[in-house]
Amino acid sequence: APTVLRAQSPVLLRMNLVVSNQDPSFPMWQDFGKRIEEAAEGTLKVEVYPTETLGKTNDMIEAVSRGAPILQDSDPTHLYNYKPDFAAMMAPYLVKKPEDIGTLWNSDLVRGWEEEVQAQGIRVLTMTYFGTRHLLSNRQVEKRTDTQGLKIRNAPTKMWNEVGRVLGGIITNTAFSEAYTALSQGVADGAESPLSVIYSTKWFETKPYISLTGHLVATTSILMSQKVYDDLPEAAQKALDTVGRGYTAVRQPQIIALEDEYRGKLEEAGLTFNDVDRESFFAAAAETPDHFPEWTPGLYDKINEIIG
Amino acid sequence: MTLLSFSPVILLFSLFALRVPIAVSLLMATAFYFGMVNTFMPKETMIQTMVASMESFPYLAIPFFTCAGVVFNYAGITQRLMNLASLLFGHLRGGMAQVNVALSAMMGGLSGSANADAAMQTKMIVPEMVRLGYDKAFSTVVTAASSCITPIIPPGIILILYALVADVSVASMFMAGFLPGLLLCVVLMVTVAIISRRRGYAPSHERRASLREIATQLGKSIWALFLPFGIIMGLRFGVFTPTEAGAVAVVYAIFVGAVIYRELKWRHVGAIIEESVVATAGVMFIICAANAFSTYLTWEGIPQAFSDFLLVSIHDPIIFLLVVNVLLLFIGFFFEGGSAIILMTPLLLPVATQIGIDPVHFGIVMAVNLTIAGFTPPVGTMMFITISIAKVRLEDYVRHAWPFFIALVAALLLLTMIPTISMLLPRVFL
Amino acid sequence: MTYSRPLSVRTIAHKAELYVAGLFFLIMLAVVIANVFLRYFFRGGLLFTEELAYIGFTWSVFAAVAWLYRTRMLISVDIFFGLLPPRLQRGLSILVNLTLFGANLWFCWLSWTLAAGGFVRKTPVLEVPYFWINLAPMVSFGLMAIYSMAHLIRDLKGGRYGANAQEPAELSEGSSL
Ligand code: NA
Ligand code: NA
Repeated sequence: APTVLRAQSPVLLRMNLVVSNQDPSFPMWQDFGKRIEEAAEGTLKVEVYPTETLGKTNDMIEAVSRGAPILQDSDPTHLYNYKPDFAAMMAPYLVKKPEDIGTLWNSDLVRGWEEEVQAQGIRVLTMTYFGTRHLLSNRQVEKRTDTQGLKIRNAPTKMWNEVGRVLGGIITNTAFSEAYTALSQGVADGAESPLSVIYSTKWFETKPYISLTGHLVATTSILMSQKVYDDLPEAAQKALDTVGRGYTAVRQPQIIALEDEYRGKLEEAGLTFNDVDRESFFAAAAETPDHFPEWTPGLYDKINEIIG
Repeated sequence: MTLLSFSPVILLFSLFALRVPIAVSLLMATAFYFGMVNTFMPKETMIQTMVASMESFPYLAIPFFTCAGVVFNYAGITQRLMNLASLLFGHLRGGMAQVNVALSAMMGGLSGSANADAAMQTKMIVPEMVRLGYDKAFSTVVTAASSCITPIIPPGIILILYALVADVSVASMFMAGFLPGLLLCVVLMVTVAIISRRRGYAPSHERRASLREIATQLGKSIWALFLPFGIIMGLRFGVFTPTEAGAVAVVYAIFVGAVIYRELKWRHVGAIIEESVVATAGVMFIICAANAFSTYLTWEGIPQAFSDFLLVSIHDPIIFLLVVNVLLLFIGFFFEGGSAIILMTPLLLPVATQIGIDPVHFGIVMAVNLTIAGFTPPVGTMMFITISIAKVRLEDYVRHAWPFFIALVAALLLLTMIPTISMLLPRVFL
Repeated sequence: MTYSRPLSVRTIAHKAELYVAGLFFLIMLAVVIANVFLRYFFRGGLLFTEELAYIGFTWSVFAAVAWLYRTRMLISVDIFFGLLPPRLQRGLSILVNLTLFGANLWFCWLSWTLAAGGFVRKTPVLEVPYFWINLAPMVSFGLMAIYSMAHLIRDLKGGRYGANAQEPAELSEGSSL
């Protein structure tokens, strides 16, 4: 875009994160930005902003599609409007282990989806492991029947409600900022998240049990504007591509170490962990495609084939 | 950061001076920034930011509590509370003025809006005070000053706004507001007593009401008095969220007004909706525009620079809070309270937490300070509302306002210096 | 406190925006109340209430804002403008109204750009395209642009100045606002 009163060189990209600057992943994203700057040889500058400072995620993704020079923190469900199949990456019990994320992202299948969203102005910069989600609640859940009548807090989107359905129980939608209050006052009996989030949000103060449902091996993604990318010098484009693709492998061990650390912290805080008969959830999880008629037929089989 | 970074602020104040509506001024300054200074963002993002403000569940509390306040008036709930206040405080010196203050505190448990309180009481109590021989401007000032109590006693829209921007729970802000609200009430009643003694304003009845009279009136007002407890209990036991509490209050007020008191009629429906819609839109438009304007501040890195500057210069929490109070009182002269919360919280809160101030205590200081802003000229929403309904000249308002301004600031200082006043209830109950 | 004035074409025209705003306000109120009761009595709320409430909220606010603009009831700072000499006030008021016309027209255009691109993005549960939400600011700013010109003409004729000169707004009789 042309500028009236200000010129800009190197090109400044602002990264808009959901997490706060106290979150353990914040310095990791700063490191990601530094890697891009170094690889770009002075053509790019990356600034990292915490807690959706620049705008709410969904609004900023729309702005990105219109050419905003922003690197937006997100997950594959946010691409649902642009290519519904992306949401399957966040379907419960589909992705089995952290390594699957890289395999899937680099497959021909997902590269095809990427091209489709690029045509709509959005470019996927990186996809990497976010953490495995478990259930915090006021009772121990060992199999799916145990969640009956349990009010489980979810974000109000289609895929999160689907996660709630697979877990069983009663879906209770609240905004993230109201979740602590909802848990502490009993509007919700439980909530699901990676261990680090359960810790940093202090949700663990409200309920005694964490059941290791492992229902979602979650992906996090950074999106940018295809238009901004096209206007960049070649060195910058190359830097974004190589650092972005390579980052999947960099982040994964960091997050796994973090999960161990937070399990320790939560146990120290007095929470009781229990294992879960995950297979009792599989039948419900297999029904997920029925609730997403907009997905390409046979999507689950293809994904299962790719991740083996 | 250059002069260019601040050009939208300069433009904003120029537009204020040209009598362009505040919300439109904020939008125009933002548009200047994204149209001329920073052209990297798609320009329609500005509109999107504005509209997205309304996509937040806690903001829905604003129309609900506003509507509830309107229904209370038509349902006869406000009138019964006034009768009770009159019985309890009417025998004091300056009786009707004391009733005016006490009613705002009682309404505080029901209504979340200082503006609604100011409008309703100017209509209801000011004519009564004038009839009893009080100066009209004085009566107006008492009404505007006491309406500062209403939003601080939970529920309160400004508390909800702060909770939203600062990312603390609405419930703890509600708990924290109780005692500060009562403190404001006491300070204002003392001020009224001193002035009434000087001017010889008489009690509105000669003797203290008997216990029997009070009991009778309590019985008549019991439905109104139950509501605040109902809301707190509902929140405490997870029946509804703070936003839904507003909707529940509307239903409850309709039930009491139509079935118990039988004062609420079908023909009131149109006026109730109209008043709710108009009051909500006026406030929300400013808040939406302030949200858009604050994206400009963020893009220019002004909050960060401001915080860094404060952190380098100030290390003591008390000194910091005093500086913040002076700054906010100044800002409050020009901004509406809700929009000032949206603009100033991201600037100040990071510094506050870093030097060890509890975000809930800080929120109470900001909320009380910026509620007082509605009482002071040149931009004061409660001042506008009361003087335009009562038809009082600005000069007369200002002449009577300063003792109350001093009293409110004194209360603010107490709240600033003694965090326990705010933090006691949240610590005990949450 | 009555509201028994008969509805004539004139009163409807006076408050057209408020009728729209009121209707959406009722929808917003109704869905949230219904949700609380459903959840309490049947242990399961409706997932789409939030979205419907947001849509009602947005339309209600923007419709009423247009009415507030028309009747010059939006809050502004009057004190400085009033200090200027009347001739200067007159000149400035023409300038201000013209600027407001331009600004509102531009906001209307931006809202349209936003709305037109809003068929891709849909609300999460009901999948209502954002087009229908972003239409609200477009209509509102469009009306405000028209009203700016009406204010200009009126100011030139009647000697009322500024964007927000005091004039009695036409709220219902007995309204507490
Ligand atoms: Na009062
Ligand atoms: Na209140």
